[in-house]
Amino acid sequence: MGIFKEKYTPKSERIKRDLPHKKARSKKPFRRLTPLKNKKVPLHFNGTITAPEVIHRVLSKMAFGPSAEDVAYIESLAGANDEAKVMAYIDEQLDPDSITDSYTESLLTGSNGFSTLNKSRTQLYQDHVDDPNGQSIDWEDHIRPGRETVAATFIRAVHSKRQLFETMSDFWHNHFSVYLYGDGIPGMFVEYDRDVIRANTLGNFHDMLYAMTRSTCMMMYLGNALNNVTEPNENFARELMELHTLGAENYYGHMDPADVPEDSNGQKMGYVERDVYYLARALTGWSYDGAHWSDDDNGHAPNGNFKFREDWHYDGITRVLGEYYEYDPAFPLGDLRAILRMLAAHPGTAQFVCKKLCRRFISDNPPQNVVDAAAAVFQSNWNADDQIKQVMDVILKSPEFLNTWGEKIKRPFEKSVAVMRQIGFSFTFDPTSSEANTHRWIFDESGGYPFSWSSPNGYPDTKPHWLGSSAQMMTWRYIQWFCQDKDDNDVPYNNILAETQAAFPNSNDITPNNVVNFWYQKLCGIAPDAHSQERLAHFMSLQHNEDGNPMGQNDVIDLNDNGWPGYNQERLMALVSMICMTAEFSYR
Amino acid sequence: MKKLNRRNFIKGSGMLTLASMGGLQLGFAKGLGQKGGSGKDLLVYVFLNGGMDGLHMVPPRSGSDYSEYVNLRPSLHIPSNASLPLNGTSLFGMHPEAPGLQSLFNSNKMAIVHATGLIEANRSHFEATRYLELGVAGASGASSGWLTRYFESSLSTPHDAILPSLVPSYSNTDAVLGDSASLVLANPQDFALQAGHWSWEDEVQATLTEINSQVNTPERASAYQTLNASAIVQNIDWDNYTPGNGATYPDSFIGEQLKTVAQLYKANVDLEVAYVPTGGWDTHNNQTGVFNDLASDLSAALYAFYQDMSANHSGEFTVIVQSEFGRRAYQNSDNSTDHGYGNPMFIIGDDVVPGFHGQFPGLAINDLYEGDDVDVTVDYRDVVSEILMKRMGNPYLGHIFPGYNDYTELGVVNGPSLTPIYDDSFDVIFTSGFDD
Repeated sequence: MGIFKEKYTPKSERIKRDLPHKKARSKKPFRRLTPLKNKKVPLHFNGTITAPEVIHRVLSKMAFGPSAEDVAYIESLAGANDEAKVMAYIDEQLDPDSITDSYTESLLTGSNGFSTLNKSRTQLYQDHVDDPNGQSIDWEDHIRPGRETVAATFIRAVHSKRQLFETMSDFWHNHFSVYLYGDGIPGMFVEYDRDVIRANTLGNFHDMLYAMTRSTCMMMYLGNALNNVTEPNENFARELMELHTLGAENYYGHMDPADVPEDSNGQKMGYVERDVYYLARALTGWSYDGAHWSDDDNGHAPNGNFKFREDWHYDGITRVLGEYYEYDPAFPLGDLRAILRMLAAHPGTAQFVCKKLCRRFISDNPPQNVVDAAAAVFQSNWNADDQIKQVMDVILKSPEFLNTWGEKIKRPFEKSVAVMRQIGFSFTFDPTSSEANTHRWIFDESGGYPFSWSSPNGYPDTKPHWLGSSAQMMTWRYIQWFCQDKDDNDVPYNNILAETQAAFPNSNDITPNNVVNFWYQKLCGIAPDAHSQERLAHFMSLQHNEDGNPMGQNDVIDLNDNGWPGYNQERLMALVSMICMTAEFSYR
Repeated sequence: MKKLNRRNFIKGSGMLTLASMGGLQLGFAKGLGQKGGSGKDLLVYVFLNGGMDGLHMVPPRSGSDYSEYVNLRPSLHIPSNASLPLNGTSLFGMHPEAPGLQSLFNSNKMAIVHATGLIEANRSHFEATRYLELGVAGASGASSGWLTRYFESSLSTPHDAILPSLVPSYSNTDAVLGDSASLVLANPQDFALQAGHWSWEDEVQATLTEINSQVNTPERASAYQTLNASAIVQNIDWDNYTPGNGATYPDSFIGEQLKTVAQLYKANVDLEVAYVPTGGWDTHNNQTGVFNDLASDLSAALYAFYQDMSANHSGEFTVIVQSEFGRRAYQNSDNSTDHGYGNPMFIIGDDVVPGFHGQFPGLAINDLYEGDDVDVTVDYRDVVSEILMKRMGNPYLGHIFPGYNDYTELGVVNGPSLTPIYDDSFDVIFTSGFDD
């Protein structure tokens, strides 16, 4: 639950939200689903998690899931074995500019409903936040840059060939998390995504930190735009140290600054309340044009660009982590810039950020040896243009990354996009389409919609949070829906039927057992256990006769027939969605 | 049937997560419509995420505290002629947008405990919230939430309770960390698989339930719980609900959350604890307007909940309202407030000892914590523990709050006094499965 207020849709509006394909529920009496009375409660999780082979593993972890195209692409790379091919793929992914991504780029254009992705900061501000002529801006226009960013995020996650770049952008968005629906933020969100996050995704951490600090979105979100030395506002200063750089593990609370331990280089190992106090003062006056009511005096049209307000700035000496920083009017940004550099270069920051990266890519309990190796590279290259790329090279080539499985589960966005990638989902997420709207309001219920975590700490990245029943159920509903979704011509937005028919050139091989085995292996990367296999095949065999009796699990299903009583094609899509709802599919 | 201490069962199983889900599984054998009959209260714990400004919600109204308050917040304070008067005191009033809370207080259904908090100050939302959710005093390796441990040690929770705990939210909370039987749901009407095609609307649920019934991983355990809970939730008529006493819940998320709690409780599914998180209280900017809305919603929702529940369940529920910390005593540059420390807690129900409790430490510079914040004079665990013992019948305070060993009774609720048990070692009764 966030520290910000929840979005709330009154029930009167929610009634309209009945899912498009939902049929009326029959008013049957409650049916007990399983005879549990005589069932013993199992006492131990005696199961083991079976790992898929390396290509499936790696594409589930550094990418948003093993699409058929990317699996085939890795298999086509030079290399003596799959491990060698995967190493070649990692090298390519670390150099995204070398990868052609024309289909994705073609979807991010005006012909697919995009109009704001290339606007400058000034254009975004004046077109979507504050009209220079004083005209009011329609809500739809105001939120459009945010909507387009979300649509672009889906498109890129599903289709981009630069998958590592996309998973890393997602990581940084959560690290420097801004709540998309905060006041004013949707209108500027294109700039945040493009110029703060994506401009530095595999680049330099300090550059991203600096751009974030100066961005309109973060200043709107954590309120630094009105931070005035008369009565400083600590909100951003605290999160800058706790969430963005040093981390809470290096917070010493109300301790006397002199008592904070020092490392072998004589540097304070963490921060205390006094440091928050001073950093809040160093941040005074860092603002954007338009944040204050007086900014449109003298006919000036505010433009949302960074603005230093010297008369609001603390002009004394600050002391942060034991070091002194003096305001110099000749270099008015110098004091805070020096502090940001110090924080970016601090070993605590390297540990904190690298632990989060390893938590994202390897395990909820990241292996300390990999964290240490990554942190050493992070810190010694803190000033390098390709710092983050070098860090990821260490993490992705570690045996821990390559070999672990199931120490993470896919979060709602990761899981949904993985399904889309694995069923060849072809919807183009045109942000002006009503269909995109439907995606938004169905997926929003999962609690994992992009940029919608209201607190500045970003979406949680460990299993327990996402095993909550609400997140599970609402993600399942979304998957069920889009696996059956069709365009206006009643053509499904997926490739499930064609892939099944391609997999079984002899149509006599299309049986409940074979179809289950094929799709389970393809989606989960492993063969189903016997019980799951039998139950899923049973589902495929149901109601194929007019008397409602099932067919045999080795009988042939006619996939050209989608009529009563079997509804074979829709049943196949339902089967695929069910496999995507298993625990086994959730691992990465 | 033997009385079962859930914790013993869990220890015997050696597997916290799965064992604690035993309740829901066996719940099916019991069926719907039978009252649990444990005889203790429904505990509703409302957590105000973001740091509720207690000096704005329950502002000083007279005396030196009032003059200090005005000095500290020249353009933010609630004037004494604007705050709502409370019975029995002229020192403090209620926020003008919270008439429901005023009414509960003045009809002796609400207690306010001054200056509560963590025993060690922490101005980080995420740290302070985590400590409260985990029930620890500071950084610790705790791997379960305080409510998880409450259920582990509860002697009176039926081990076949159907849905003993609810988090009406989109997000899970660390308060129930490790308890996969806890039901997290935001919109009960939508808490069902899509029907899909009419000809297999039930088969999808049945198939997935059967697959996950072979519970061999935590992921299957929670999927199984979710599917079973969904079957129960779907069987409740959420759309046609008439709150008791003509209560009207406000059209807001907190209103929906508390209505969901009441509805689920009345469905007789053994609901025992509801953890209700509600955000928005981090008022660094635009505090006056933002707080007006928040106070109005919270007050109306709690008032409606009390009215609704007391129609047929008088004396059967206790509400605790708490935030991770209070806010700075003085205002910031945006007529708002930064993070602080001590803060009031509210207790609502028919068994409260009404009025103010605890000690307000004062707002003079020397009385403020480090010259900045309302100090803490009451360990929040004293407040919660009194309710756990007197209203919930659970004295295992050392297990629920690791390291806690100095319970001090404040007298905020009525009920049988128990002796706190700090010792965290129990005999293992069960070493293998249920045998009833």
